Order: sequence, then C-alpha cells, then structure tokens
Amino acid sequence: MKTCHNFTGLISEYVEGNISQQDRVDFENHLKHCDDCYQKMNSTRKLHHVLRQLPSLKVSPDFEAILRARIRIENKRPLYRTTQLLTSWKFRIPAYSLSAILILLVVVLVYSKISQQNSYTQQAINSIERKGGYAAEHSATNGAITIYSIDQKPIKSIVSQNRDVFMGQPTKIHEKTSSIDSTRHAARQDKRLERSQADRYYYATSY
Amino acid sequence: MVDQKKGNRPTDEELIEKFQNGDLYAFDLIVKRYKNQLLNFIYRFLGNTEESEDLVQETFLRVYRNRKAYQKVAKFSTWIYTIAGNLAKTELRKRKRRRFFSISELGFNEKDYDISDEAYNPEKDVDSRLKEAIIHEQIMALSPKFREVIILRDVQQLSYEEISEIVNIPLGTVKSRVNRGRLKLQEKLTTLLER
Ligand SMILES: [Zn+2]
Repeated sequence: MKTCHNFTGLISEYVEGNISQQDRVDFENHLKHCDDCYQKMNSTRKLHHVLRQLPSLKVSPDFEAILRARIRIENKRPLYRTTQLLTSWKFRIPAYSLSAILILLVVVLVYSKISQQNSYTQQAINSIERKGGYAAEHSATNGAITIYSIDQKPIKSIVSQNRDVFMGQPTKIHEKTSSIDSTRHAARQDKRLERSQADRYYYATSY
Repeated sequence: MVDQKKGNRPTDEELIEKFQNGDLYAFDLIVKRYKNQLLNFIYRFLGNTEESEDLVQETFLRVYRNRKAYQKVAKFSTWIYTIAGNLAKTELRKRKRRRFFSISELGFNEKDYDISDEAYNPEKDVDSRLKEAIIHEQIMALSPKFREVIILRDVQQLSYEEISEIVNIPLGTVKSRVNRGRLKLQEKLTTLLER
C-alpha cells in the first residue's frame, strides 16, 4: 500500500505527464480522497506553468561588441596597451582630464627644456619612466609628482623631494611617496575603456 | 527567413566543430544562440543583475579559449552550461566568503536589465510584476543545489538528461531533486499559486 510520502515522489512525473500508466491510475485514485496530495499536486502544476512564464532577460545591446573586444585584447595583448592609450585619449577621456593631460604634456616638455635648472625633477621623471611608469605630473607649487601607470591609472604621488645638494647641484633624490587608492577609479576607467574598445572593434570584420 | 527549413539550421555541435576549425563566424552564431539563455540561467541563480552579464561574457571567453577541449561525445549545450554553472557557483562561494549578502543581492533590482517587451510591457499589471518578484525571491531562497536544478528544468526547460550531465549527478537524483525543489517552492508560494 502506497503512502502519501510515496505519492509526493510522483507529483513531478504526474505534472509533466511522464508517469507510467499504473502509477497514474494509483495516484489519481489516491487524489480522490487525499486533499493534501491534491493540493500539492495542483500547486506544483501551477508552479511548473508559472516558472515557464517568468520574464526573460536580454543582454545589453553592446554585449557582443564587448566580447569581441575582450577576445581581441586576449589575442593581442601588446597591441592592447597602445590602442588603449589611443582610444582613451581620442574618445573617452572627459574634458577635464583631457586638459589635465595636455597640461601634463606641456609640463613635461617644459621640464625637458629646462632640465638643467631642474634636473632633479627630470631625473625623477626619467626614473619613473624607466620603471615602466607612463607619465608624471608636476605641480610647481609643492613639487608633487603624480605617477601614472602605462594605462593611465594614477599609481602614486611623490609629495616631496629632498635633494642632497653639493655645490648647487643635486646629487641624490629622496622620494617621499604616498600611494593613491585608484581601484575605484581604475575600475570605472576600465569599463569605459572596454566600451570604447568595443565601439572601435565592433566595425572591424574579424577578431 | 520564416521559410528557412529546419534542416538548414546548423546544430550547436556543427557550429563548435566549424569554430574549432577556425571559423569565427560560427563562434558568433554560438554567442547569439546562447547569450540570453545563459544570462537568464546565471541571473536566476545569482539573483544579482550586475555580475550576471559579466559571467556570461566570461563563459564565452572560456569557450573561445578552450574550444579545443570540447569533445564531440558531449552535447554542446551541456558543456557550455557546465562552464556557466561553475562560474556562477564560484561567484556564490566568493560572495559567501565576503559575507556579501544584502537585500539588493536578493534580486529586487531586476529593472537594471533590459527586460524583453512582452515581459515588461506597460500594460502588464502591477499584480503580476509583484508576483514575479515574489517568485524570484523564493527561487533565491532555495538552497543552491535545488535552485540550480529548478532553474535548469523549469525556467530553462532543459531535459533531465542534460541536467544530469551539467550538474554531474545521476538521472534519478536529478528527478527527485527537481521534485523536492518544486515541493519546497510551491509550499512557499501557496497563497500566490491559489489565486
Ligand atoms: Zn496523500
């Protein structure tokens, strides 16, 4: 003799119509005088229907473009670095950071021109660039230098520099640095870069 | 397009084989075929909108990277769902470690997504949207092992055989797990289902 427990095990099969003939007859006979099993079966049937009707989501419109870009990035990592700079400069950097970058360029140029007077600054920038940093920004007022990584994330800020001076010429630079928490900034930037990359490659025909 | 014969539509397995032989267009077709399906699977499993699309991206990247690892013996759909499912489960474990659960994780902000027109048209009444939200919430309240099979079976409508391969448990276990999951869910949703 089958119990309610046995029958609840058959509910899904029954609802989906994949139940054997014998089980179906037994179950239907049981349902006639078991409200509990009937209620369970009935709401499982409704549930089965309702779950199929759940709204389906769609990926965002640039999903495929972003995917292409990511694949391209994977395939050509060295190219990525260069194009990332290009694309971000050309397309996605907001006006204020664009002007910041321009000022930065001017500053770097000026410092390379007057490097003899300010060789310690130039020295610092050179050493940053040797270490794989991308660019430096020099604030004339407090001597602070911000170092950017190759992908333009601010890495650290040199807040002050002390020179060992011998006969008016710097011999050694001591950097006092403070790191910048750029994670949030970088994450946002990455997303934007990915999108601009995506825009760029969407029209390319191959990966 | 409507009169396209059924036989003309390449199978998933044919597409991945072409892709393995260097046909990138075949990969595009795979992406088109699976992107929304996988988004729904991962979204219903994680309940969170933000990571879901990223994980779908990651799934395709892995298909791209590991295309040679796919073997003809398995159905392509089970292979790609296994990848997506593993990524989703890893994400879930990471979250647990981070003690990351918050109200928003339980999926009340599904509007972030571009929901298809027929699903969210303005005429659709508040009552049914509320209903959907409650159902989603209760799916999220299931333990992951029940949630996974319920989504695969009832939302994604995969066969028990496919689910057995994806989740890597015997067919009989899948069937009883789906049944038990449904019973748990209907219990929570009794009042809603009676209406
Ligand atoms: Zn009974």
